[in-house]
Amino acid sequence: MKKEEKFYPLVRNLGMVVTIPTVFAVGPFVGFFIGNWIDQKWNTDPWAMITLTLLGFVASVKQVIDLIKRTTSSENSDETKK
Amino acid sequence: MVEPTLREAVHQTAHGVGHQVTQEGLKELANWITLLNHYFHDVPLVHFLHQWENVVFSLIAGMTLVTISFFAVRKKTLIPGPLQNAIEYAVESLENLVVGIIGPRGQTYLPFIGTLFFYILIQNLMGIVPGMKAPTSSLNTTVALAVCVFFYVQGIGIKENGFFGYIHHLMGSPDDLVGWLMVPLNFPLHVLQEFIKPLSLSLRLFGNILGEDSLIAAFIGLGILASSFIHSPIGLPLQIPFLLLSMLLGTIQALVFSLLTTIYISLMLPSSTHRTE
Repeated sequence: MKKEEKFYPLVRNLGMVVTIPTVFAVGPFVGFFIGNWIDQKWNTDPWAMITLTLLGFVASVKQVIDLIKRTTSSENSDETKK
Repeated sequence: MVEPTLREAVHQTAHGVGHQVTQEGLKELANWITLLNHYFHDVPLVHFLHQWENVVFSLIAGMTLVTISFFAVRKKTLIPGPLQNAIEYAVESLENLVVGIIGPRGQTYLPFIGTLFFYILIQNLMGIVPGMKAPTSSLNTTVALAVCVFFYVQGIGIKENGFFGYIHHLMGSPDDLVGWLMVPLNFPLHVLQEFIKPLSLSLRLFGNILGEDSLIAAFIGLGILASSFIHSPIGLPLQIPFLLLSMLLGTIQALVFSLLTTIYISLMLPSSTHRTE
């Protein structure tokens, strides 16, 4: 196996490993801030904050799934190519 | 008179690092702008430089990149010299990485992703150069980089899919009744996802680089404290393993930032252009 063929999957996996925790943390955070802003703007306290925090969490899970899918599909195509 | 001044300075630094870590949260090592500000804080230019410290160091990183590129491509030859060879190898490796994820069309986006990689790499490595500072240890710099990525990715989305195609993509690309019924849930989810991307990019880079730089500063302080009982003006080099770690992690972080930008671009492209599909 060539050195590069080992290196790229390693980099991709490394990228995933260091990204997943941040994405999980940031999702509810973004939802919370947007929700809080909407609550202040339209006086809906605390519903927009709660809804968007939950949506933020779901969005972060979805993003992690998308990232893993994209990474693994690239890896599979690399293996098919060999 | 030199020795007491040096010793005083060393002890002040050791005390300063310890004090800063405990009282003011994580702090980094002093750089040349901090020193200038310490000794000439009344000079308006020094005050200006201190205020715009991260921008100044970012400009230095940019100028370094321009200078290296200039010398690498100044005399291009078929049998490359060491610098041209190193740059060609780095660019080719990045091209393989980008094309491996996006497909042949990845070459269109290679200049942006490549520039990001080298720019972030130089910025990260500046943290281990004495007297310099890693601008990426400031959230302002990393947010600016992530905002560039955000607008670039959205621009690509609109350009490649068309405006309505872009909105269709944000709605989760519905193609049947169930898909359209899920639009009220999918649309805010996708919009949130787009905001999560730049924030996670910037926070990860900022956290890692600030952590590395603070660790080096803490161990330099510890090295000075460890040898202070013999009144040595030079501390023990306890930070050396962390300098090596910082070099490794700085490169990995630059690579991860570029890799994620590549993945975000590939997620925004119409699915027919993906190499894997």
